[in-house]
Amino acid sequence: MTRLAITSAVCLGPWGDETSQLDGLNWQEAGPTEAPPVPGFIESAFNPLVYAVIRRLFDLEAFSAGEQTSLLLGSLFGDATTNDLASKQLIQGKPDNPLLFYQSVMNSIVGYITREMGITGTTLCTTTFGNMTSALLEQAELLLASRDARQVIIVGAEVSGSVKTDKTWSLLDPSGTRHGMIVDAAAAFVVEREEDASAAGRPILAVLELAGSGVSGCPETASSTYEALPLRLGGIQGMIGLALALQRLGGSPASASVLFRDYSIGGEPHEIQLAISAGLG
Amino acid sequence: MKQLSPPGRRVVITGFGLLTPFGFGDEAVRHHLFRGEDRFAPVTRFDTDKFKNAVAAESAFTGRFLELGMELAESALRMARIDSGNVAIMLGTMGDYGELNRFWREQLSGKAETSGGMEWLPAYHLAAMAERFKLHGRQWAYTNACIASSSAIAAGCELIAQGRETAALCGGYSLVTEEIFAKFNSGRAFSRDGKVRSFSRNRTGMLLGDGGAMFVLEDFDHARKRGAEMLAEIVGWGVANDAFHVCQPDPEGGGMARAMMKAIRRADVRAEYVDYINAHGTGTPLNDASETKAVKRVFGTSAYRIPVTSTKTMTGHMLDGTGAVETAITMIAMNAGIVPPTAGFTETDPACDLDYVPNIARVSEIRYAINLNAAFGGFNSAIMLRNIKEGGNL
Repeated sequence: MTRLAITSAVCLGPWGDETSQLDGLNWQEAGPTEAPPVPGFIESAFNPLVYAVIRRLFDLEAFSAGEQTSLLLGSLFGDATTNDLASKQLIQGKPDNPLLFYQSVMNSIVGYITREMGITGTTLCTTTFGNMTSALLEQAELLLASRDARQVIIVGAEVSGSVKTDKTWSLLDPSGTRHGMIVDAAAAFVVEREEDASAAGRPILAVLELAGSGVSGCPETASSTYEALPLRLGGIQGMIGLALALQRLGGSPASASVLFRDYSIGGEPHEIQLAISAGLG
Repeated sequence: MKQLSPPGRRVVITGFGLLTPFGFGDEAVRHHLFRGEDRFAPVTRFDTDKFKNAVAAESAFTGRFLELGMELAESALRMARIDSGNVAIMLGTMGDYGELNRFWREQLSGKAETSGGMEWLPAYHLAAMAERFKLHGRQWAYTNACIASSSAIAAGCELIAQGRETAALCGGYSLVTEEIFAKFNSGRAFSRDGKVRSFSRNRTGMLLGDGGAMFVLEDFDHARKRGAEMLAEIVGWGVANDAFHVCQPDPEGGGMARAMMKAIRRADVRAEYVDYINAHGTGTPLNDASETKAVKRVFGTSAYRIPVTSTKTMTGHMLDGTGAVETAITMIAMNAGIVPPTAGFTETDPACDLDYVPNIARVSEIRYAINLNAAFGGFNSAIMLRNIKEGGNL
């Protein structure tokens, strides 16, 4: 298996854009997520969220342009706002909104981003029924292992405000622990082979190993375990949780190892071992 | 060009299920597509009065998206003689918008809610399929529109090639629904004369069609050990982005060319061995000229001897399902030694000057073939097949 290095991590939600603000957040009092508008994508917060986190990575020069950079966008519910709007307009006899034509597929914001940032590698929009973080990481690993890519940007986003989404969200959790409306949030990471990151002198936030289906054996060396946040983040709970785990890990002593449990729906959570040592970064 | 992954495990197709607008199975392809017949007719499923176009290629299938997926998956698994176990599921689907439409119709009319299901969620299709067929491998779905099912096939191939799965159920499906029809209507993407005339100078746009295909992909050694019949080998795959426009293709065909080059490099064969390209060929002025340039960029002067055809001229555009269906059509064509035609072709376009096999199928040996697809956002995919007779020690 390829040893993966996470070299950049950003997230955005009602807590702002600093993961440190996630700890102890009062979700009842959290304000709206602020993402700058993106020209042509005016009907929904989904696309501006995706753009905002990748733009931050771009501004940080976290990835290179060209065909050796890939972008994977994951979401359980997708752009629920646009889907709802298109459905409602059709039912109300207004089937002629050209904006919804391209905005209704997640590809479009990816196309906007790739054009602006010059990404010509593999681009995919994907979804899973739980364990999305480990699925995205493993897809990144496949691209890196096959040498299809040298850097893979994985990004996840979910949006609030859809009655249908909230109803489905509650259906996914009969126990009710995931009650409440989903909030607008996004997270993005740059993943690469550890050897490439080291050779390029890029700072490594953590190295991780996935085994088999993305479920690692429980490592005896893990100093602590993080669960995906049991909050209101839709399918990207694990990704926000990973961002938080990385932030905590960054504040650890020189060497540390943690076991991160992804967010699952109905099945077992996949486990990801994250490690940082004095030699990294 | 740098070689992609080090040689990995070989990937073969050992089963498939297929729906085209002409019906289920490969016989429908042979009887209709090989004769250059199209299936375009006035839409019967919903009222089209409010739209600029009233034509699509509907099939006789009357079920929901997920029911179609289940039927295709069952056919593929039955053909491959696999009934459960460690098989991954890779799907290309945007989910069932019909359910979303029913939900909002009830909400807006104040009627009691009956549409409380989850079939609108693409990921739910994975879970439902895994439960129904008792499959325990990885389950990923792709929602990237017209290359969704190609992406699913490519992911299944990569998992097998890297030795992470021994078998994968891969594909996608789509049906003509009012919801999707309305979106393409608003985008003014439809043909104006009720036909899809890909690569022809008088082409005016695309039309939608029903279709889906699911494949069982399998590690060659695994398939051989259990004596499975191998239908074709998938030797290359590639996905690349144009980085050009939100919804228009790169007029120079850059992304399509890169996707094909990735597939050819992975296959590690000379480009001139390619005997057939099933083009995306939507029939829009922009796509077909761009695709023509992409083929020339990859194959140079050899491009003029390769038959490049658009079977969407007969099936319509099957969106999320199109990559899988056209991979199946390519495989059937390869095994039959018949290149399906580009139907509805009437006028040569100087911007489209390749051999599009106009209107009449052609008997021809096909050693290697590429199925090429593209989607909004500059997404492009290529799936490269090898004729099982060309497989050497197969």
